[in-house]
Amino acid sequence: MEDRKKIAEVKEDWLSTDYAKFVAKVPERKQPFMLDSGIEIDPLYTPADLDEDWSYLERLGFPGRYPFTRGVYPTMYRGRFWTMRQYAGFGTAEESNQRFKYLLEQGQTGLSVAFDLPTQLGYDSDHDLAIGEVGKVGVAIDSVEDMHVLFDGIPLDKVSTSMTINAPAAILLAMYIVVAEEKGIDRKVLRGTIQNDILKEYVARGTYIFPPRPSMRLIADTIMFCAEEVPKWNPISISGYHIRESGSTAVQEIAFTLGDAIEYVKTVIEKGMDVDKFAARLSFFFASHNNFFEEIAKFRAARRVWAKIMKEKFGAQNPKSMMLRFHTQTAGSTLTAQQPLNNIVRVAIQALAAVIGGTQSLHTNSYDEALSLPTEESVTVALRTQQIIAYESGVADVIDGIGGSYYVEKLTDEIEKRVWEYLDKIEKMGGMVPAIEEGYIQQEITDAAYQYYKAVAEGEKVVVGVNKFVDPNEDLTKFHLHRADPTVREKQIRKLKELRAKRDNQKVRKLLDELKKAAEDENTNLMPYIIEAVRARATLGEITDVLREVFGEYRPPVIF
Amino acid sequence: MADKVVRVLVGKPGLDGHDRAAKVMARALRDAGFEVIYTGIRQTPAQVAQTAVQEDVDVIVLNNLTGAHLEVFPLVVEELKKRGRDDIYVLATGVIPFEDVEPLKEKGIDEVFGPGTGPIHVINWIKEHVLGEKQGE
Amino acid sequence: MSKKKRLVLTEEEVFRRLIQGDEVGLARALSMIYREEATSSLLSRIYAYNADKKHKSKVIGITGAGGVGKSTLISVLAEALLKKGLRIGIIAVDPSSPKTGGALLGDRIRLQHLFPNPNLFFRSFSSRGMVGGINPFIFDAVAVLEAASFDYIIIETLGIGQDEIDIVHMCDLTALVIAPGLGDDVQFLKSGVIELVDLIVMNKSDLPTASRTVGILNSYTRMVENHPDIIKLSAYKKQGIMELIEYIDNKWQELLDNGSLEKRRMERWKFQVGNWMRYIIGKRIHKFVEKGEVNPKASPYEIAISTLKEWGCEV
Repeated sequence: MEDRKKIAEVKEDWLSTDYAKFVAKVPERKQPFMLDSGIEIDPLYTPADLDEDWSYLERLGFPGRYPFTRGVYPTMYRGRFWTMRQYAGFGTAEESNQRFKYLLEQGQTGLSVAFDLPTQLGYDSDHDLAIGEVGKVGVAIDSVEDMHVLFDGIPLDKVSTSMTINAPAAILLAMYIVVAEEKGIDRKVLRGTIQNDILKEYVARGTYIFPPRPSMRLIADTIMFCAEEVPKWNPISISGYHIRESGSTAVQEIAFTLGDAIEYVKTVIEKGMDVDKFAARLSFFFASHNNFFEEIAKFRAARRVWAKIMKEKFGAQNPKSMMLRFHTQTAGSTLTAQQPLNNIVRVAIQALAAVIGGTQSLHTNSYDEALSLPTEESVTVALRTQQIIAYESGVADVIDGIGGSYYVEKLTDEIEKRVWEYLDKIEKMGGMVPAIEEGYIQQEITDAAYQYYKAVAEGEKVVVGVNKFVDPNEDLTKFHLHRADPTVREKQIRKLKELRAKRDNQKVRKLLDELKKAAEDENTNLMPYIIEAVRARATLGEITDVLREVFGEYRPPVIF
Repeated sequence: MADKVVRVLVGKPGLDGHDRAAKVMARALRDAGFEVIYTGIRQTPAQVAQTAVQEDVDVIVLNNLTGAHLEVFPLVVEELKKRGRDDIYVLATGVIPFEDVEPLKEKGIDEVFGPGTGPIHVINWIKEHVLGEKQGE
Repeated sequence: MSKKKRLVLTEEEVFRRLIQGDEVGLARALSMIYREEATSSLLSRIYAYNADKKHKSKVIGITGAGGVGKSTLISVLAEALLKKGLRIGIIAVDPSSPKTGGALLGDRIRLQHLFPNPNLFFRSFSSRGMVGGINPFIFDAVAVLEAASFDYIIIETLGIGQDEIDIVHMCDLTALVIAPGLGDDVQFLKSGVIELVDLIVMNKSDLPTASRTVGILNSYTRMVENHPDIIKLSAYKKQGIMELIEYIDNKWQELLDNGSLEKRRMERWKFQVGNWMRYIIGKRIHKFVEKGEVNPKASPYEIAISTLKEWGCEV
């Protein structure tokens, strides 16, 4: 290849002559062309646009090897496709169980469980605050009995299950383990994930219960417990999806997620576990948004930054500890209520970016996302989207097919640079916890969200069907929507009464007292105590209340 | 800007923790010249109502994205009635299916702004109903 | 579709409900004053009623720069006072946008969890773009809350510019809240308000960076004879709150017993007269300046004097 200087010269010439001539006749559509993360885009990229010291072996290397930019496994999808894992759950455990079975029949390869808000917040369905919420955004789980129904007929030794649960994650994990054991399955073979990422709850998702310190302790307990007892389990899915959905830019999504991850790793190491003992099981969760190239570059940059953090900051030796394995969900907030069929296209593009970006598992949103939870029909289309990408598009037949694109490499570098800037700033504040307590993270996110809103409101950012190519006559009422069953709460209340009548209440009381004592000692791992309480049929609310007593409830600053 | 002060309460009753829309709404209302009070998330209907009474707002804009609106929003109206202030306008925003619009209005909600609408619609409604400004096109 | 009519109360009804502590009446009284809908007579009734009645509220001002934790402090203070069965009324003032006139009033979020509670009243006000002082409505709002006979009235303002000084005039006792680590530890020393307040509250005193601020405070108190009292606490950890309450109660009682409280209230009354005069004339001046013709040959001073003379103001 020619030398950089020569190429740069010719590019300059091209810009000032051919390009300029055209611009004089047909001006550029925008001035400048910017990515939401603040990066300005040139018309075109050449080898001369990469850094002077850009080195293939240093920056890219090979998949499965540090710094993992091109992928975490040597064979990637040539060996096995990403896991097609559609988030599902609503109503009672029976209803969700049916949806799980349907999805598995349709070719989904892993389960992803959505819980209702009372469950996510540690309230039983009979709690006052649960009115109107039971079974709405996910399945209602009050006890291990519900969990049994949820997984009835599903081989837990063969299927991996991801559970989107955070503040009470330890309790739901305990329930999963107890269900498996009562079905005769050893916890050592269980595969799956609990989200268990409290830091993003404080800034983006809002389902926190306890203050940061005890929450971090609980998370460390689950990570350390799984490292010993449930070795195939991912005890945490450090998430950027919600941060992105609350309005952050792509750069912030990665920076704040990795900032959170650093905090978790630090906490476990401080509790005395060697980094290589647990780090391989840390997993991540990102969004896949509209800007195709930016998203792909984002995933690659994330892998490279994480690898460096683990190697240089935490001194990890095992390459597995440095691999950023992640699940992706297409960005729900980009889907529109107007002309919903357009969303199928949006999701396809976003899914494609995630696949080319090397995701390990993927959830594609349904086209009626802006209107309600998906129907069987719409969730099938979403699943088929993944299957078409996998089997028909060819992108899965090569690893990191887009690697080497001058634009994508430049973007990857640029995103990495900006992520490091954020991480340095956060470190100077003392880490993610102080940054959150001071409201810095929330301010960054809410500012980005408002920028985005203004750009759309002013028409500067086009959303097809919403502020351009609008159909004034469209009738959205003709879509058949999923309806939440309003009787779920009653059903759950009945089940709770039966449960409390059948179980050994003295035993439950005793185990809850033991849990309380254990919670008061920072150095005791709570998992075994929670598992025993769950086994004795203590309810989710009862267990959480004990922890609430000891840890207190958290109220973070509200930043506009 | 009208000398007339318009006070709006943005409320999130129920357990829904997604506050991006509520915060964007609050900022947009502020930019439109209104005085905005935001309750934060996880409010009970009584909390929202007592806040509205103490702040003597003209309008309450409720937001919910998780399907609890049919049960929870009317409870806010009830709490307002209990306190003698059901004269305050109550608007519903969020992920609200069309079938729920009439039932909500029957229970005292003044207008519903579901998917596909945004702050500008709420702002125009408030200008028309509270300030009496005709919204021309 | 729905055309609701905003609840209309006569001044008579508003006054009657207000003195009974009814929230609707109280809130409406505040609105009427704030929206300049209250006639002079409602205000007169309120002031007359307050002067006659025996019960006096403790009016406490809390000021300080953004980020020091005022809202958190007020929320734990309110929580502690409510536990004692007391009735609290709080006013928080936030700046409004000079361009649009709109405002985001977010101070109450910090104590939303204390509601619903019949003993806690919170009202958010915007400063209505009044640059150079707290607008007179806030002063009168204090009088309204007094008429409702709260045990404690707490005023929270952002300590910027003139309103730092004004809050001292508005309250029986004022506390300046500072916190370590905001990079401008010395600012509060330079601000001037430090000489006017009764108390300095050092919040976040549990932080490792607190020692530096304590050091600055100590050297200050060593140099200055009549310095404000100092209390260290942590609102977040709820440490030192009972001591703060004790201080407030004792100091207030002391001021009452030695006649200083009465003097301060007289000063407040006088200041508010001046405040109103400034505000009313200020509006007229504003209108004049807006419409006024520019005459670069004349000196602005000339024009000012001659115009005031026209208005019948002897200067």
